[in-house]
Amino acid sequence: MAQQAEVLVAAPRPRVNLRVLRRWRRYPLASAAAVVIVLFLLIAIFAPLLAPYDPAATDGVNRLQSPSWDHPFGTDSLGRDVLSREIHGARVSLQVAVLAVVVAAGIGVPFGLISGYFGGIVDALVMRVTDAVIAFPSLVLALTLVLVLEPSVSTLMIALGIGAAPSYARLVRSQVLSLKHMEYVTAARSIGAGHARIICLHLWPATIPSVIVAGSLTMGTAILAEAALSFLGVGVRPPTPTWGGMLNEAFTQIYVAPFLSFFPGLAIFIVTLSFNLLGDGIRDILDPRLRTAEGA
Amino acid sequence: MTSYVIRRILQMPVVALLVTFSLFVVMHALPGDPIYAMIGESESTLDEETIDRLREDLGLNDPIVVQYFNWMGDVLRGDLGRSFRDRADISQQIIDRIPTTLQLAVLSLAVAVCIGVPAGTIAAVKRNSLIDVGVTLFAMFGIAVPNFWFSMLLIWLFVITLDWLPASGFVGIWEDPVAAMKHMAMPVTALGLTLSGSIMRYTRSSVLEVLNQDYIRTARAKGLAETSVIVRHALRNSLLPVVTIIGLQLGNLLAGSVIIETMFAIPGLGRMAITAIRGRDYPSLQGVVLLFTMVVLIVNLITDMSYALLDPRVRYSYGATS
Amino acid sequence: MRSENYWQRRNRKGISRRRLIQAAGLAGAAMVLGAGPIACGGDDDDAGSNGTGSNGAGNNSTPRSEADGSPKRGGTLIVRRPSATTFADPHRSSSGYDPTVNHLYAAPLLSMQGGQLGPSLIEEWEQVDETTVNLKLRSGLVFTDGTPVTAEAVKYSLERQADPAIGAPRRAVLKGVNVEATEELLATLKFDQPNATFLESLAMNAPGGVGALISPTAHQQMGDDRFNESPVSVGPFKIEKLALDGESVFVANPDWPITAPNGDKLPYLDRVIIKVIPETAVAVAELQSGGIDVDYVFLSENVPQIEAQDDLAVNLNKGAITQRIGIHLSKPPTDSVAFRKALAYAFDREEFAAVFTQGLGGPGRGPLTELTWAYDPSAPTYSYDEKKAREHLAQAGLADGTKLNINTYTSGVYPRIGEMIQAQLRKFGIDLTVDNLEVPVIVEKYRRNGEYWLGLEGGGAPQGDPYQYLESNFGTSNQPGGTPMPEIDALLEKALRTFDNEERKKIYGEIIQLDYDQVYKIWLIEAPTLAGHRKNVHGLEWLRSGSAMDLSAAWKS
Repeated sequence: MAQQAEVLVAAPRPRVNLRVLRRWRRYPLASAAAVVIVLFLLIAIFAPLLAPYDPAATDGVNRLQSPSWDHPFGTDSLGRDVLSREIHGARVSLQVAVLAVVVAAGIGVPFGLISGYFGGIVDALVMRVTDAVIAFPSLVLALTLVLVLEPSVSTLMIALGIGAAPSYARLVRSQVLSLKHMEYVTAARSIGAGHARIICLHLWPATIPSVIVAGSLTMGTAILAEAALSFLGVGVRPPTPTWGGMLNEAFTQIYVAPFLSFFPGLAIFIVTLSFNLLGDGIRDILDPRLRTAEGA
Repeated sequence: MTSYVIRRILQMPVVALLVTFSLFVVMHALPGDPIYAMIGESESTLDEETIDRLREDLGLNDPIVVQYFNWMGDVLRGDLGRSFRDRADISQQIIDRIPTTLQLAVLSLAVAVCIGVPAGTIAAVKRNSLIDVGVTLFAMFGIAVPNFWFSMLLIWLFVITLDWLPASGFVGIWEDPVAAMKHMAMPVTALGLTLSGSIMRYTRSSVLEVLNQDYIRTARAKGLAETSVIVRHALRNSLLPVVTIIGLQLGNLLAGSVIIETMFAIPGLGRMAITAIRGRDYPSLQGVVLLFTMVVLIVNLITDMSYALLDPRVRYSYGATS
Repeated sequence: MRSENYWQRRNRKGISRRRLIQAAGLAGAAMVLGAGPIACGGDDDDAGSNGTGSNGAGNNSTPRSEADGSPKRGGTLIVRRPSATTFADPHRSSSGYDPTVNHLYAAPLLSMQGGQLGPSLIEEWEQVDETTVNLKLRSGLVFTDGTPVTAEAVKYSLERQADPAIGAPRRAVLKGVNVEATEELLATLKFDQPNATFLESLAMNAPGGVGALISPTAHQQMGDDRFNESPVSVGPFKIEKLALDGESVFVANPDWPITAPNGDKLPYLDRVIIKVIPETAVAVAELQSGGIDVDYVFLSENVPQIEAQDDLAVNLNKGAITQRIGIHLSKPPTDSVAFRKALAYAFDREEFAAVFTQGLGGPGRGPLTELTWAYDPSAPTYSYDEKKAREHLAQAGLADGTKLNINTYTSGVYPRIGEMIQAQLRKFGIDLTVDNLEVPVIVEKYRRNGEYWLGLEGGGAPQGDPYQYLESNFGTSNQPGGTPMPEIDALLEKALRTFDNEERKKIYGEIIQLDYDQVYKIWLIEAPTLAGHRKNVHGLEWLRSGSAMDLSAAWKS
């Protein structure tokens, strides 16, 4: 009986009108971005098959070759094929980005839910902690964390995830704050639904759309952050190539082989841009209010 | 309202405490004794006695909490301690470097605002025009470009190829404005680029939202000239979110300065932070992070307060929620 | 009557979706095209080495850049270093790059030219007997605080450096040394046991030696910390402004009594500025544009940039650095001689030399190079032999390979050398993990705790007597994980007590032979240290350590 009543007053789930997806032509940039991302995902997954050479194979004789048919992106200072390294680099970058977002959401969302729902001291405490993390200069935080644990994909994802978690917490919290006064929540509580049930069944699903948007945008940030850490020399261990690490090496060779700087940076740029555009596009789709304002 | 302000001010030390304590703990978990950092790059014989004596002197044998409280006590007396690396006075070092990083940060901010705000406004006003598209694309590019890559491209173009600008170093703007501008041109562009992108986007959406409001229609109906409408009504009301964004981006600015200062050999706080992390120089890093944290907190407090002051709706709502 | 609202009117004036896409495409294309020249505008450099001839060093003398004409007076020299000066206090400096700076304002007691000891603050010295040395100070020397330089200062300085709290890197050489100020300008050193090589450590300041003098008055007044902020010593230059991580300025000391060999008053320069520039690319740019005059941490791979410009030159210190792999000798499997021999045969040292020294250096042959009189060209060396490597691997029972790890420094070419080592070992089935670590971590994890099997090391090849070098490479006190080396220690002890150079050379030869037989280290690369400088800079000399320079006789034309 109680369950039935609950269903009657269930949360108005946001309708992701799938028909909207068919009108992808209305969102050209976001669609293009989605295609690009899928492309890079495929590249990352099938890297060993796609890369023409072994990314770690050195060849002292053929070092610093300009782009040519043999080596479309040229070779680096140890004679390794840059194209193959770029392809493999996608693996690390995307891996770290996705995992960082998972960690960030995994930490931030529950905290946000709890903080917003219970309020009071719990809320104050969580908010101060998030303030602290935000106030910390992000690069310093990530650097220190990576140096404590050793540089590896898992460390990077934890470091970046922790840095990004507060924004999720705040996002979810502000949504919960407005939602928890809504009728269906009060109704659910009036029929005796427990806190956990309310949070998981009613509140959390409502936050999913904005979390997805935030997720896409955070991926962009995570890719940039991982590149920055690799550039500073605290990224994943060799011989695994990362785009940021390749830029690091490229900088030392900038006189002799400027072309080395071009490709890794471009890759970072394109992927970050795509995630940003995708996030914007998703937000446009999901948020009707913004849609009318933009007049799309 | 005042109670809100007081509460916020009281919360600041708590946050600062949290930040510095967690940093303390993390730094102490870092592998690599700071004593070894002092021995440096050359080969040298290590000696148990030397090491133990040094550890004792620097108080490294005390439990972490004790060390932390000692540090806190000193800080409250205005003494940030001495660097482990070269025994220099940290407060003095920080004071020496503040003008440098400040010059970099302020110039970057100024450039970003001067480009971002007008561009965002025009983009909003001439919505869906070519200008709008151009601005939006530029903003997206700015946000997505890694600033160290952009720096490399700038160096390649302006230093190596064209030889127009010096590659490194810092000149105070008071000493020699022209030279300062030449030295700052690339770092400021690199740092300002991302920031200008964010500012552009926020300005644009904020102005758009304002332009949609009734009072704008009223102003137009009254027959005011379009420019007047934009400047006197729309801009003033849309600047608030922009100010907030600046406050939020300050953290990113400081983080970005770490890389930029290293690349362009600018002796500022960012570089001090990196050197401290690499050298396990706990006190120096504590000092720099404390400064950064306080700056970010204070700036956020000011922007929040001005938000509350200028927007009555916000002011009243703060009474209701926590 | 208007039926549309403001926005509908706006939209009519606006562009269609198609134009939006076109614009985006155009912008993207513009970006790609604009950045294209960077990608394809790379130079037509061929990948090989541009083996330029070195500037001499067939013998022990340090090479000079062209010393045409007679030295001119005046001018400011701007010198770059890649990292911050560690300490201004000349007793505590811990970076190999520091002596370029601290020799400016703190001249060491003795000097070293071409591997031979020479006078400096000490005018004359006398080995009275096997355990006593008399040092006679030059008269009329004055510290920058006005107090006179006396034997008391010598005693004070040496005893301070022996104090563990100061952390002087070469503190160990002062064990068993007693200093007495027998007269105002005469200091007597008494050794517990005969010591043939001690005097060499007076020819350099920290970290390579203990030769710096400080003013006892000033130090007692200031205490260690403030003394580090403004050290008081005596040298060819005086400190005008100290910024360890920025720009430091030094001005000529008008009362400097030591003259050049041709009798000229030194120094020639008015000022020296030391600038810290971490990024190599930026430093090269500054050198090319004239922002700096000398970069004494120049990399071989940037030599083409020097050659591209008429007003730049390179001062080459051939064979000054050896880059080698240190091995944990008591951790299986590297505790097996057969395995270590396999490793010694496994590396193609020519490839390393080609990639990392651009033909200016060569493959590693052993611990010593021609820079020292103790070098024996007939000593055996290892070279690349895949067959022998596999044989020894099989002998060690590791024909299928194994897992190892190596640590390297984080800066310069070391991370890449690590990657090449990793690449070259793969064909033997050896799976090598490379960790780029900061020095303090290396010291803790590798040297103290022995957590690594291999460590990539680099250091100055000795000029003059190689005792300290051999001791730090092979002696027990420096072995990762503390492996005891009794035979080496015994030989080193014997060498220390032997005053006859020929005898000592033989003992060193025995140590080298032991290293060859037991493969204590793998000698990969012999690299030069380079100073890139503007052609109008002359008189640059390399210090004994190979990684720092002596600027006291430099001049600009």
